[in-house]
Amino acid sequence: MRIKDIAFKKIKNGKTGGAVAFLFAIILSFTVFAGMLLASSISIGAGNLKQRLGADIAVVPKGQESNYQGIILNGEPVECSFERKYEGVIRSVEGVDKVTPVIYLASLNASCCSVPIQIIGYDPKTDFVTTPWISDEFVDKFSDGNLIAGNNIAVDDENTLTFFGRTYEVGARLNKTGTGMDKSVYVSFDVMEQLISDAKEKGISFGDENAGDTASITEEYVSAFLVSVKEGYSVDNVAGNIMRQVPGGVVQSKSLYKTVTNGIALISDIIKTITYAMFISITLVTVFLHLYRVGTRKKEWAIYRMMGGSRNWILGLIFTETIALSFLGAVVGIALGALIYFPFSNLISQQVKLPFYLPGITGIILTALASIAVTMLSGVLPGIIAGESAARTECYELMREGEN
Amino acid sequence: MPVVSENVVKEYKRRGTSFTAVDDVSFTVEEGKITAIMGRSGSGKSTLLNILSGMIKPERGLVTIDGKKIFDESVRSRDRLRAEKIGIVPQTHSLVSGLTSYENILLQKSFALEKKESSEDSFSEIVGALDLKDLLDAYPGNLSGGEMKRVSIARALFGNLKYLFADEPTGELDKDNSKKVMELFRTEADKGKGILIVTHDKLAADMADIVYTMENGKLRLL
Ligand SMILES: Nc1ncnc2c1ncn2[C@@H]1O[C@H](COP(=O)(O)OP(=O)(O)O)[C@@H](O)[C@H]1O
Ligand SMILES: [Mg+2]
Repeated sequence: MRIKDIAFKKIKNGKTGGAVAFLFAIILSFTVFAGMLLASSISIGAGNLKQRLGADIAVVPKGQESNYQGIILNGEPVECSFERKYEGVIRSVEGVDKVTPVIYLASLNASCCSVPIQIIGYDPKTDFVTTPWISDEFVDKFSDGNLIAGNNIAVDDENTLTFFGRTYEVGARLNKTGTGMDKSVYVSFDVMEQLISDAKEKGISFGDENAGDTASITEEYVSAFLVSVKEGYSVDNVAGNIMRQVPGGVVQSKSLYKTVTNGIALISDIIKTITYAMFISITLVTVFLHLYRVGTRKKEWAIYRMMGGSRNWILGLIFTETIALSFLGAVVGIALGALIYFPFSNLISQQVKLPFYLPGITGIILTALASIAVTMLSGVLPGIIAGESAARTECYELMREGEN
Repeated sequence: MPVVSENVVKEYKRRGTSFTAVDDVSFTVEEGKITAIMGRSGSGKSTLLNILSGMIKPERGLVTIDGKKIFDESVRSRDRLRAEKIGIVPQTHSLVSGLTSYENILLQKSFALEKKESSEDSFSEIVGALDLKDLLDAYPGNLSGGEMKRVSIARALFGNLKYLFADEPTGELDKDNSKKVMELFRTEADKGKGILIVTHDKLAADMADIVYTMENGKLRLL
């Protein structure tokens, strides 16, 4: 019989010490796996956000700056109105590269969803933030009059959505971002006009009351202007220039992104601290567990020595048992982690209130392997210490101890 | 070449004062013979047997196995010597829990570097002679003292090693089983094994070729 055969038999038929060590390995591996997944989910989400913001600066009506953050991060419905005439003014500000107007419109009774969703109007003539993100599979068939749905919007069988009694075809879908943008529907300004007049017929009004009588609202009012800054210009300076020439507030993507990265830093610090603490305490506890296991089996060590087993052989056996327990615990811990993390990832993403995006299969596999490695690493020290302790005990002393 | 003990002395401390458990013992365990040591409990028999197998280091004296002075060697090489040459049946229960009787019997062989041929035949011969067929799948916890002893005898024999040291091999056995064990030892000795048994059992000693008695650490030929 080889050491590993004996080790597995001893684990299978062993006493409590091993079961407890197994349990601790499960806990450690679960923590590492779920913690690392959470950390990478939010950091991927943040990366997506950074890319997708597209614009460097959003110019919004004064006092609406914090609402704008809510739209982007959490998809909170918000309305606001801003005179469109400033579009040209902003375009002529030094350092400004692109400008495009957007309209945010909350729909309280969309066919797709039980909760209010955000309808975002974009100007196809100047848009540079929305259409670039249409999923590859839709790019060819997409035409201007269609809706673009965020990744989380459920579409009915005919691939349509109904707003204010009118049905629209969904022409494209955006890639998933893990941000509020997934819960939005994007429409061109033409469609937006339609939506607003339909809404008005149903007695729902939007935005600035002054806009009420205008035949073509989008010509007059928008919610915000999204601005990208020319290469070589400081975003801060350009934002300052805009503020001086336009009666609006300014939100910089980088400050928006900063609130997110601060949140991420906090969460990953918490995860790191918990993981380190777990690793150290579980390693220590496991040392004592295995010392206890070894202590209860003194007679067995004497038997192996009697048969000519060397001290190293005994050390090898205990080390194998210890590492095997860690490995098995790690695998079970990961399975448990997967069982909890994946089905509840939506719930978790709502709880953390940060952009959240699950890593792909390779990322998940790497995370699992890392969890196994960490958990097995935490079995190395206990394995060596317990193994040494067993190997040091003298065989004849033990045979006597067994006599009593 | 046999196992030889020359002027071996082992002292133990008991409540501060030392006493001599094995007192100037010289004798030989010959190949092809059964050597028996009889004596009252506490007379030093087990200590002597553990010295001969290299598990206890004596204060004085010489133990040679096949010409090698074993206490001049390292601990590791004494371990190896046992693995390669000596099957041991200790006085106490010595089965590894969590392994079946069958696995326990196989265990001895995992320690020998040079695997000696022990055929299916010799396995079934040993298992048959010790009446263990129905116990092979049982775990030690479900065996009686006598059954455990028989399994540990089978284990020591299955290694097909040159020597067999057995401490009270018939101690917990009924008359019938004792006889079977001694007959098996006889066969093995006839095949060339050097067998040393420590025993209270008069009947067992009767089947030995050479019998010593031990009293207060001193060994005497009977
Ligand atoms: N490690 C030890 N420390 C102290 N005394 C021991 C030790 N081993 C054996 N003894 C004592 O030495 C004597 C001989 O023991 P042992 O060899 O087991 O005798 P036997 O096998 O003949 O019954 C006994 O008095 C026993 O108590
Ligand atoms: Mg004894």
